[in-house]
Amino acid sequence: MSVTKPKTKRLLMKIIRLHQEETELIKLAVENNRQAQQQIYSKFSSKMLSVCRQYIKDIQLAEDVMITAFMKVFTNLDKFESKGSFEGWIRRIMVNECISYLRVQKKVKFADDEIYTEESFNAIDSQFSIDQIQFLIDALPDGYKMVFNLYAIEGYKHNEIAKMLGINEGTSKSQLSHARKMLQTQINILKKQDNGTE
Amino acid sequence: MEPNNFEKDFREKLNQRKIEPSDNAWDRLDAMLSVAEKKKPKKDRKWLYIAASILGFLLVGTVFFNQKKDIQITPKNTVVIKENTKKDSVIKPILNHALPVKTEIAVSEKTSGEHSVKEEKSLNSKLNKTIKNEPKPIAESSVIIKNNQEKKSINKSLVTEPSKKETVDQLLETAEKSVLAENTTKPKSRLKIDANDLLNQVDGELELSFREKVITRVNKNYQTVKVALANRNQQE
Repeated sequence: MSVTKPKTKRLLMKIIRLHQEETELIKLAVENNRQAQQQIYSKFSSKMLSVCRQYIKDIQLAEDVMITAFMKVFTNLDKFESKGSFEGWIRRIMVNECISYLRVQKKVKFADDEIYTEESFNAIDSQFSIDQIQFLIDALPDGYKMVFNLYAIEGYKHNEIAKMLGINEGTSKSQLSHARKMLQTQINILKKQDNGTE
Repeated sequence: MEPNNFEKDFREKLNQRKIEPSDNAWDRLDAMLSVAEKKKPKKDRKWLYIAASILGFLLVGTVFFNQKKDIQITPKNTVVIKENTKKDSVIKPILNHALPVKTEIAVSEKTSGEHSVKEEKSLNSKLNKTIKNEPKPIAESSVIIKNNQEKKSINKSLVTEPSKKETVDQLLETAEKSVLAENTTKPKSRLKIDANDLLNQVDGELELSFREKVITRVNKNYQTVKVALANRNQQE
């Protein structure tokens, strides 16, 4: 033990300081090496909390969801295939955890309306601050928010969103169009306010 | 539906954003991970429990089947011996009963054939009566009768009636046959049935006890496994 511990520590320091090799870190984390796990956590936690915050307004709840999602990351780390990006994989787990939280805890239900208009929005040259953006997203109902985040921010397609949320593709499209309309009006209000103050 | 300009802006800004989690967030995750790690060896132990219980079952099963064989062998022997003794006892009385009657007949014919038929008749009738009434003490009575017959045949005068003699003989024979039949069939059959019944009873008892043992064993094992599982669950 006295021989192996410094050895692994030295190895870890080497990995962390010189190479930061993700695959080595993952390998160690799979073997429940706590230092490696912490390294992964500190590398991605701030980004992932931002992702969770997109979906969940309460920062404490967002952090709780992030922690449970990280638990899933570490318990399923052996299933990660190093083909794709590790960050993308973690991000997907975060998004799924947020969705399941909203669906289970908040019991978000989607109206079965499939009416949507493919109207083109006026190109808005938005120069909002990140806080303003988050404020606009927070104002959306949970259903709209989920679809908007998944489509516009995460880049999922409607059929993927439909599968993730267990809804029809049409419903996903209609939710997105509703969300866009709502954001449009909110942006306009904000712009007016900004112009008024200026 | 092309993403709008504001959506692009949203995405870029949101993806750049970083929110530092609270300081105790890692501690919580750390605690959760250690709990999960503690649970993992418990899962392995669960398999150990299962393997141990299977082994226990096998052991109990082998011991049990060996016992079963012993139980089956020993009573069979005793039963067979009993049967033999019973059969002997059954056969022996028949021989004892049958032989004296036959010898008696021979004696009676030889000795009293010429001398006293009447007496013989009366004696035979007596004999028949005795035989009919009391089939078991035939040996004794026949011996007594034999002795008496010999003595009386010497003392008393003779009156010959050949036709009657024939009928008397016939009667005697029929009586003999009936007595023999009674002796052979009745007790033999009764005893034989008794033997079979006994065998069956013993077998039934054996089977019953066997079943009971199986049930109790299974119950015991089930209880131990149940307790082990309950303990494990409590520990968890």
